[in-house]
Amino acid sequence: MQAQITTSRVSVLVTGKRCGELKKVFLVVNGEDVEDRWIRLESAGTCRWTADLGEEGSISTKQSYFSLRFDDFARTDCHRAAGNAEKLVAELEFACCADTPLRNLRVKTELPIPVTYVRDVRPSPTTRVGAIRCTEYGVLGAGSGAIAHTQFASEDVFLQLGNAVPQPKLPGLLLDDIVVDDGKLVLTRDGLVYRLAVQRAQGKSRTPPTLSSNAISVDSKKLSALKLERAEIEVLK
Amino acid sequence: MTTLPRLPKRFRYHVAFSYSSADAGYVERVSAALPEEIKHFDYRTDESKAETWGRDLEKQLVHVYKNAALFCVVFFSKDYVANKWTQLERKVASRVAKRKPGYVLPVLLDDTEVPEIANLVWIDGNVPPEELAELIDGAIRRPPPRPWWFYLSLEVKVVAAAVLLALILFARPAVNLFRHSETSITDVTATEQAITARIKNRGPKNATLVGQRLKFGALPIEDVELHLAESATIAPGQHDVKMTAVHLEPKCRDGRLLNRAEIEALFDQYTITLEVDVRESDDAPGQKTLRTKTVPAANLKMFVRKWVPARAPLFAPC
Repeated sequence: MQAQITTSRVSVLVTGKRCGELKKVFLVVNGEDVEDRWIRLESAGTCRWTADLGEEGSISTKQSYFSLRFDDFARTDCHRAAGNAEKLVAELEFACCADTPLRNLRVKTELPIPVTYVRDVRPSPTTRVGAIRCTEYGVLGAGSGAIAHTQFASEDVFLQLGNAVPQPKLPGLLLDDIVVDDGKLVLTRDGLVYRLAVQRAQGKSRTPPTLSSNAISVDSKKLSALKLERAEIEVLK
Repeated sequence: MTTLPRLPKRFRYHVAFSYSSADAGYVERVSAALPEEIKHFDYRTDESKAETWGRDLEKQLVHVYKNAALFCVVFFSKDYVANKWTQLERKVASRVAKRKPGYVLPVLLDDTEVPEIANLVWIDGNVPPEELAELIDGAIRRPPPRPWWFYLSLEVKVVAAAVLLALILFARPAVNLFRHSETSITDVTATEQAITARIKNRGPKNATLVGQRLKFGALPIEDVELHLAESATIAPGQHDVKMTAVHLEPKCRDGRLLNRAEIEALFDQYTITLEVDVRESDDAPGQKTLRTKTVPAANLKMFVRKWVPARAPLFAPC
């Protein structure tokens, strides 16, 4: 019997040929993409996993959304759970695994400033039911941190420099376009202003395409105020 | 001569005499002239003396002149109105006469003025004692006025009695056929698992709960339909009805969804209303009545705490 429920118990079914190979599966709840907030799932048989979020972790099946991180080789799109009102379990089904490159990124700034990121995750075209477009977010440590399991084919990852709290409705620097697989991308303050201006002109900054000089001035002032000299973005793997 | 009516059980005497000892001679002759079957109270007789010996005289007199006789013959005279004890008797008898007109039969032995008998028919003390005895006898034997139904024929009385009995037996169920139940919610409490509504049905029919919901008013939680844990039928009387939900949905406030801790902090400021749709009778299935009970949100804290999610999405569309 499906219904909206409040529960702390989650049951996950992973489909796909590779589901049997999975060793470590992590659940990301409500887009909180911070590793210490990931929930490690326990195996409950072949391709089945469970988790108990605890009394203080209870979720609403109507509002909450979930995604998975598989070992070090994949992530999933976001899903809402179906509520099983008899067992009081939130039931989820994901497909494993998208065959697109996965990158773990390391971001470093000089001088160290607060940095957050927002991931705009699109539903996978191969998912049968239940997938939704969602926003995930994370906060990097002061001046340095990692963004794990990025799959640019199915998500847009925005870096927000100088924000202590992620602001999903505000534009940021889209990483999908600029990350290089070999080596380290180093952007000076002017380079960052330039990249932001280009992305705005291309309409990739969650705004309509614009060449606003005013916006360029604002970016430049903001980064100067932060005393940001340069940012490094490196693909770890 | 008509037969002497049977003395009702609660009376001991047909008549009680109230007189002064100065007039005892006349009264003794009246007593002697009364038929033996008429029981009368005369404090000077041996029987009365034996009965009152050693008892509280005042209480005894009050009892006799208030409760013990059908009639009280009061022999008014100069000595009677001057004596302390006869005044007590007179006062008690007058009080009884107010609620039982005809109780006092006054006899005026001299020309003493007695205001309380000014409007009553009294007998003059010149009447020979034997004649007064006959008058007292007549008053006792005189049948009491009969009500109108006494003159109905036996057949009519039987039919009337049968109809009355039928009314007594069937009137209430018949009236109940057209009366619905009348329910109200007297209290609402909660545990983690259920809301308990104390519902009172003043009868006579069973009521049926056909819908129940919690309304949170200004608390940022969506109103929710509740499920009954047990039966929906409310028999006449008072019953605790358990209602459950498996989900409470926070509402957006200030552009975002509140989590459990934030909602809990608001509990002391707001109330929650339990609404119940009641069908007061199965005879009128289309009709339902809304009953409500509003309680402080803190009363239902345990339940709300259990079913409001602890984690709320930061970026839920609001």
